[in-house]
Amino acid sequence: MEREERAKELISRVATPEPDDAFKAELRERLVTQAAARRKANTALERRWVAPRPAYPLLRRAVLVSGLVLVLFMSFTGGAYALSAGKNPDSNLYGTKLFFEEARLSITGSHDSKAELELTYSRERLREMRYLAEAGVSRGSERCLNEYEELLTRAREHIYLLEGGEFDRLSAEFLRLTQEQLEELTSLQDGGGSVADMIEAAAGACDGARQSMGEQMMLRRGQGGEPMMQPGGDSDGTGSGSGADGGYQGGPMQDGGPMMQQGGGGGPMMP
Amino acid sequence: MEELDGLLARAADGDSEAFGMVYDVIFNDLYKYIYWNVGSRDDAQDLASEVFVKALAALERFEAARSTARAWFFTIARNLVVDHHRKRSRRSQSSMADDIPSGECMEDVVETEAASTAVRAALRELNEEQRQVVTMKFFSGLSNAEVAAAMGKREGAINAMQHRALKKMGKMLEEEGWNREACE
Repeated sequence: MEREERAKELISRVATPEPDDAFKAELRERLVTQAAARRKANTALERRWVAPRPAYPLLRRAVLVSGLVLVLFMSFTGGAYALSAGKNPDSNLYGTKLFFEEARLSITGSHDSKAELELTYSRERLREMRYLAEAGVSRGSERCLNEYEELLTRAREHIYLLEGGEFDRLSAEFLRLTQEQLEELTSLQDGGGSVADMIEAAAGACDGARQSMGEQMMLRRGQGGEPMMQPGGDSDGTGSGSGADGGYQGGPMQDGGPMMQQGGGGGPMMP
Repeated sequence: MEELDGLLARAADGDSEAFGMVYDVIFNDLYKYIYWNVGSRDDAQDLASEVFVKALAALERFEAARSTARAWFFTIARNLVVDHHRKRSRRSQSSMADDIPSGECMEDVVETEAASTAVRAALRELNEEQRQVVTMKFFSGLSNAEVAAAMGKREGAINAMQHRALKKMGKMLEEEGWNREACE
């Protein structure tokens, strides 16, 4: 409690630099002008009725252009995808690989599928970190770390949006996978070399994500939800086999063990 | 002054001056929240102006029944801050995460740059969500319910995050010698 009070006290004593007065006044004037213009435009639209133009020619043109773009896109991206698969952060094609991952996430519909995919990609980031640590390469390490943190955050946010059994299943899976990742990161910390900071930061992010998920599970349990599954801690080896040492194939949970690992003693982390 | 929700409703009905009054009421709070998230006055000003431009463009979509005006503005601001962090390279983030200056007592550093630097560095140690909670609540003065609405989470989750964030910040400040004992 004393620590919290200390933080609150220091926060209450710092001053935020004031915004520029001229900037504030100018912005206000601009916004009020825009708001007035918007009203005029809306009024004009309401007054003026325009006969709808037939949609067919426009639609046909749109279909043709879309088709052409799609053909060009497919022929280009097919090659780029094949080239970029499995690249590491020190590669010039690493950005392309991330782009395809992002594209796949964006076309994945449901929150649970997105979360699964993000967890799979987080394991791929971990594999890349291992590569960087073992090779003693620091190029691209910051980007890799950024992506790793981002994936854990997004996976967590998608899991929070789930309800009932789906939430139980994926939150348990989240804890199980991040436990494995945390263990791997801890093992890498000793030999991190030039990327030791990255490994440490990744371990911190992973631990923080686990704690937040644990809190969320506790909260939901406290709200009278269904009984929670215990995430598999796997200290006894029952149900690990996640393939954290490799096996990335670009798909969700392809190399992992069964999605629902019971028992193992590693419950959600308590605050 | 008229309540913010009422002003925003009038603005949505086309009263441009009401939008100006909304701006007067909420600009400083939004600016502070953004400033303590991005760490730069210029960036904070730019993002704050973007919040209002986006709000103006989306006025019709504001649903008073689902959210308060304040929470709605902070939701827009939060999305912009998250986007800003995504775009910014890790390197520039690190350069902002100054080390906490150590060995000074709190009384000596009231309202000094050193204290600001310490708080900024401690904030950088928090994860994104924790930082959002702390800055919305303690720099912009939002209630826990408003923070929860702005972040799309339950109030209990916000309480837990706030607790953890302050503890983490306090621990870090303590480790760097920012405590009352240092003054004695």
